[in-house]
Amino acid sequence: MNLQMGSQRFVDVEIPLLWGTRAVVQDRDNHLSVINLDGPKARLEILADKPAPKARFTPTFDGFTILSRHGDELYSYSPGDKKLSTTSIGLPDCQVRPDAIWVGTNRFSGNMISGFGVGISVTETGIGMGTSLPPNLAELVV
Amino acid sequence: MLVILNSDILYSQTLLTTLTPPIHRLIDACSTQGHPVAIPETAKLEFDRKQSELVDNAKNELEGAYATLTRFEINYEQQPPEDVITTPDLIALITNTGAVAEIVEPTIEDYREAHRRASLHLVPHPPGETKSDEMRDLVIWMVALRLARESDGALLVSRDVVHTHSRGDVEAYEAGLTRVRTVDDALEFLDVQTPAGQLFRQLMEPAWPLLAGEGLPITATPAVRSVARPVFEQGLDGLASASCTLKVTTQTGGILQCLAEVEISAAQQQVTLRNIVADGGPYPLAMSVQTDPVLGPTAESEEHLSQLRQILGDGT
Repeated sequence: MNLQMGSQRFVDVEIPLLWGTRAVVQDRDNHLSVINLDGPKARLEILADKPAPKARFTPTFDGFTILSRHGDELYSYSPGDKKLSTTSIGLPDCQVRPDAIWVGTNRFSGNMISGFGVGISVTETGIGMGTSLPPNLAELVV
Repeated sequence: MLVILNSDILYSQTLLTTLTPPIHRLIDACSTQGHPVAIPETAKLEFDRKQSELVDNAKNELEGAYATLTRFEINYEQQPPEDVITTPDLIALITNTGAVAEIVEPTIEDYREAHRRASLHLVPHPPGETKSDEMRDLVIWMVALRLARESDGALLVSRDVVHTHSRGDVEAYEAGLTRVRTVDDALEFLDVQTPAGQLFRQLMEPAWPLLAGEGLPITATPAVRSVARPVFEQGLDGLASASCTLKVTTQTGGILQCLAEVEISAAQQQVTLRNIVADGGPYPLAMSVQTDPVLGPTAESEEHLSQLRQILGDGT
């Protein structure tokens, strides 16, 4: 996949931004989509800044919160700020801005990441740039 | 009513100089309506621990910036990081908004009872669940129960499984402790309408006259007191379904509580109420009515889906 997200250029990567087990993709209108790759099949959760078909959610003051099948909060998304945040998954906040991608207090700006499984990888324990694709993720198709 | 906040509600990934917007909204509601805020000391210590980590990171960042400026021989005024960056005072952040707030220390009885329950896995410990921080959760639980008894009722805002599990229902009820899992549920409890609450009220509007006609003890336009645990499911062309726990004022000024479910299609929406509890019952296990759809269909999903597939397939 070749993709421009903010000031980042991802060339020949399989997943540009992996937030835990969720692939984050930005379209040419700067809308974000989020696809959960945990499990045997990819599940689209956010489609172009809105809850995706079949996603469970609840509207909030600045966007919406994606819920589990049991109705528990997973993470929130603010379309205005292009920001994903969570208190339950244990991941740092992730924001895609025109000038940079922010992960927690870390800023990625003006990089070209080429030829890796994952462009920017965010886990509970760290952040990686240009990493291999973690095992056991579902194929990124919707 | 006393409002008790757990650390998972106060948690922030960023160093706070003001309250986060959701907490600010809740504290504003408490301030406006005269509800004092209580923070169990255990929750405050957890808040301080996370904020202290962020303070250390911010100090390192500032020292790095000083080093860069020095390397390039740029003149600047160097202030000691510890003077510039400090751990926020949670109570000051809350009281700066005009609310009344205090830290509540656990008593020795709170500790003893929490210790006993943790060791014996007593209520509200969820069966089969092991948590490394259960003792902390139980201390907060004991403090919340005590405050509720002393204050003639309290609201605990916490998403912790120990605080929200059904095994604590009876004890919470007897102490007058109401539990909600999110800030938005707390706002609805305090009569502040949330976006989710407003959307659900909108969906329910055409159903009320029909439900009143079916024998529910409500008017055709009842006041919806609260919308709790709302869950919406998106369809390909708009909202597909919604559910929540509803509290509605009855004709006699009482409260009707039920589980409300709305199934939406292009031609109609079906509203079903289950587990109806109100004066004048018993009521059927479920009551259903059909109305015209409130929300129109949207046709954007297919287009966006097609664009996303193109990105995933070929890139931009």
